Amino acid sequence: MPLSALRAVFVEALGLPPDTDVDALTYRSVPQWDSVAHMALIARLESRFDLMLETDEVLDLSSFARCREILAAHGCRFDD
Amino acid sequence: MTEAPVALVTGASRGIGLATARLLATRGYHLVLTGRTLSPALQAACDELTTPGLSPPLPLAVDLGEPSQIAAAFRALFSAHRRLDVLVNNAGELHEALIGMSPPGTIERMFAVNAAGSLHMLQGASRLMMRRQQGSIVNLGSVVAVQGSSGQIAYAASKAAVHGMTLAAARELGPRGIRVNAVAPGVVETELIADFGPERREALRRAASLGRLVRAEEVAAAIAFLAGPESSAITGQILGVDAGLVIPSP
Ligand SMILES: NC(=O)c1ccc[n+]([C@@H]2O[C@H](COP(=O)([O-])OP(=O)(O)OC[C@H]3O[C@@H](n4cnc5c(N)ncnc54)[C@H](OP(=O)(O)O)[C@@H]3O)[C@@H](O)[C@H]2O)c1
Repeated sequence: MPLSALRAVFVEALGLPPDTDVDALTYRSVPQWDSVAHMALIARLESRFDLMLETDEVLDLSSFARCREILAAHGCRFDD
Repeated sequence: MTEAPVALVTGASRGIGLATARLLATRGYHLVLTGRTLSPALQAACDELTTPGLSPPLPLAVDLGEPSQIAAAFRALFSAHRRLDVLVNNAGELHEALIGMSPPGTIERMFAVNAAGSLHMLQGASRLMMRRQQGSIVNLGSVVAVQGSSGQIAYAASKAAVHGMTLAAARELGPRGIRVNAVAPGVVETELIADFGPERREALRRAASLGRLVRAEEVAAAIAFLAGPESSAITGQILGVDAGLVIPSP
């Protein structure tokens, strides 16, 4: 799957401007990615990629890069 | 994804949970039914509630005192249905003991099952419900959470925790389209109170304004109301189903 699909989920779920440097995002690095938005992001990721994250993974998902690794462990690989 | 709404009822092998599962089956829900183990009673409930046109109820063994079993149950539910619309957070245990005679293990077990177990269930359910921005959670509180009961300190405290989590979750999950309510049954004629002798039952009957105990089906009716669309504007409420054991002052 193209990495742009993952970027699009972040932009939509967090309500970010389309030109945001999504690859550099970390939790709370922008005002839009707060704890409430984090749960919306998780819900969006789970529906979009049809998977279920463990609570530990929800807590560990602290950046775009880490998200990519966690989803890879669920069999979702993204090409640059 | 499953088309019809999906309801998860914990502790559905008997008592209030079974009565609720029976009622929800008549309202077109796909059922996921749990017990501590895959007991013959749980299997019988699934067989009884197999409805034409719907997938047969999915039985799952979940000891609420074991968080890893709760996580596994949500994985199984997700792979079967990929959605959850209703959680009836019903399973619970009662071990009575006077304050000075409550063993540490019993106190911890009451909190692990009734409080932490219910909270883990609520957590898992709300995560699945958030995807579709809708859902209804009904917790099982108790009259003893508000008025206490001699010999039930750990149980009463664990049920007070259920009332508290109902209110907190209703506030946090409302903006996500998820309603959270509880019923607070009085004394319901199920196996949970099998140890209550005739004199105690008579005293409890007399204490209730309606002069009687409560039937599991009566609690199930209140649960089904709070679970379903008829209560779409109701959240954060704890509904007494107690034959008038508690009449709150204004
Ligand atoms: N009966 C009352 O007077 C009364 C009053 C107020 C509140 N309540 C509450 O209503 C709920 C249902 O009570 P009930 O009267 O229907 O009780 P019940 O007849 O004793 O049934 C309890 C159900 O919960 C399950 N269960 C018990 N411990 C469990 C555990 N650790 N993990 C998973 N499942 C467990 C049992 O499964 P197994 O068959 O596998 O053991 C059974 O299906 C409870 O939360 C109870 O506290 C009851």
